[in-house]
Amino acid sequence: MNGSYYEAKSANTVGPGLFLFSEINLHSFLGDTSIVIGNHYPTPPTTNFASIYYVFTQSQVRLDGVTAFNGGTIYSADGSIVAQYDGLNSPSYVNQPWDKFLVANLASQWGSTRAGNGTFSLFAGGFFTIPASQSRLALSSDEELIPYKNGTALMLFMSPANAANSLGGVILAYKGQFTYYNMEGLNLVSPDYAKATVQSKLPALSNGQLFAANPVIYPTQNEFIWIVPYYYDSGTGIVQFQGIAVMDASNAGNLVIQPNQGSIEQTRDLALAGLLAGNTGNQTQVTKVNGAVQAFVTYVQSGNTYASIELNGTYYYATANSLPFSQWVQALQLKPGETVQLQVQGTEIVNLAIPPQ
Amino acid sequence: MAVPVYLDLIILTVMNVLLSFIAFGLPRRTHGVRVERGEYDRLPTGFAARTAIIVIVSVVFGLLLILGETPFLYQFLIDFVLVGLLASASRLRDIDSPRRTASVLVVLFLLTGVGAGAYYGVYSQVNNSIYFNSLLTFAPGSALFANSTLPVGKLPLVSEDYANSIASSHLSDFGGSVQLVDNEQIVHDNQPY
Repeated sequence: MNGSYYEAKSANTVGPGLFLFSEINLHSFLGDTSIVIGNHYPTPPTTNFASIYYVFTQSQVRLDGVTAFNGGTIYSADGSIVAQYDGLNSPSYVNQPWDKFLVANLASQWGSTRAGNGTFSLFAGGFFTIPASQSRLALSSDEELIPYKNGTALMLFMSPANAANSLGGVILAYKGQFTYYNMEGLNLVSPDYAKATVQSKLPALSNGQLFAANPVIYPTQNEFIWIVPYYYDSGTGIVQFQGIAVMDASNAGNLVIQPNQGSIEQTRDLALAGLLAGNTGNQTQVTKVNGAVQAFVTYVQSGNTYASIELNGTYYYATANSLPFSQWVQALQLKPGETVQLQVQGTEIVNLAIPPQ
Repeated sequence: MAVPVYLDLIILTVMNVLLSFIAFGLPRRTHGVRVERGEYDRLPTGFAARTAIIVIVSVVFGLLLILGETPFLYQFLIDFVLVGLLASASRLRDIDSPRRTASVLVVLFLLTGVGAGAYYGVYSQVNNSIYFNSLLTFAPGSALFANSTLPVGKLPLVSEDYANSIASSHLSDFGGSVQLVDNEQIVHDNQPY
């Protein structure tokens, strides 16, 4: 995650890029020529990276033309087969029991032929008198692999056909479960759009270029945000981490670009703090506090006005940024003894209501 | 059903021999002897010689398909159509045999090819979609991550290019003659790598 790395020297006799029969695709294919070659990837079966297994996923063309998930083979370093699994019932250390390219492929076909909810047609895109379907979806070029429950989930992002800038839905593949989250009502921007927005804010360099890559969606308390790291590419194979941009997924204008502050973690936290005004992620819950104001004071710190309220023995504060304008004006006019209903995040007031007397 | 490589080749070869018999009829002694109007049968007439050629060509063709990692079902279809067409077409050159039968066979194999291509190449996306739809469950967008706490520290923020760049800067640990062949993001011990 943070750019630190492990080295594992493992003389694998079967792997990608090796000669002829040691090449993992052909090696596996010769054992069973009925398969469709899938994705393969190295994976450490234990936590210490002492040995590296190679997982080879495969699928099979059925008679009806469907390319179906068909398990995989796990090779140890000496090329012997450690385990074989059927379908999607993989050993627990296997991250992706499916071929991720096939998942993307199926998702893409599923989206493009969608003529309605659960009905599919070759002519979903319209043909002569057949009108184009409103349900068609197109796959975005970005994918995301995240820790999920006790394993790994692959996330694919889909946009409505011909509307690549908005997010139509998310397909989350987790072991044998595939879930489609319909994002249509949430008014979110697509990963491509998030990337392009960040890219547009980056300066042009005389040598090499800055580029945004790998947007990651993340839910905060109330909204989804895009976290987009950006990198420097020298053009000669040197890529360096430059910073992280964080944007509100439903409001692309709400964007914080944080240049590198030493480590990816630190940069990310600063960027998040910038966007969420000090509240990163789900550490702080919004809680409700009611009561009579015991003390009220306003003060100015670093040019910002703070309104501080003592309620039930605890101090809370509000700033012009933390409250909507009308509530902020109400907050400034509070007097000791008044009854208020607050919603607070930590000690920051995010909503203020004065109940009618 | 696993189809090991030798079984693959045997099936293709046997099919090709049978197909050539269907197209040509069983070999006859007199076959190809007469030469009229500049046409003649280039195939050797003997049963053994013809079968040997078909076996060799089948194995070579099968090996090419295997090196191309073509799934067996597609190999079977490609081979069926190709050999059928070839055999029927060369029968058209044979002045001894009725031309109508040969023409019908050519048309049949052509139609099979076009049909299989349309079904497996084009229509399969609908079947694929139905298959994928049967695997999918549906949920509202707000439910994403609702039952799973995803700490912000576990988000993958390293791009492929960056990973390659880091790896390439440490390759000297492995000595010379090294090559970066592949990268893959994995999640290990609940951390993305």
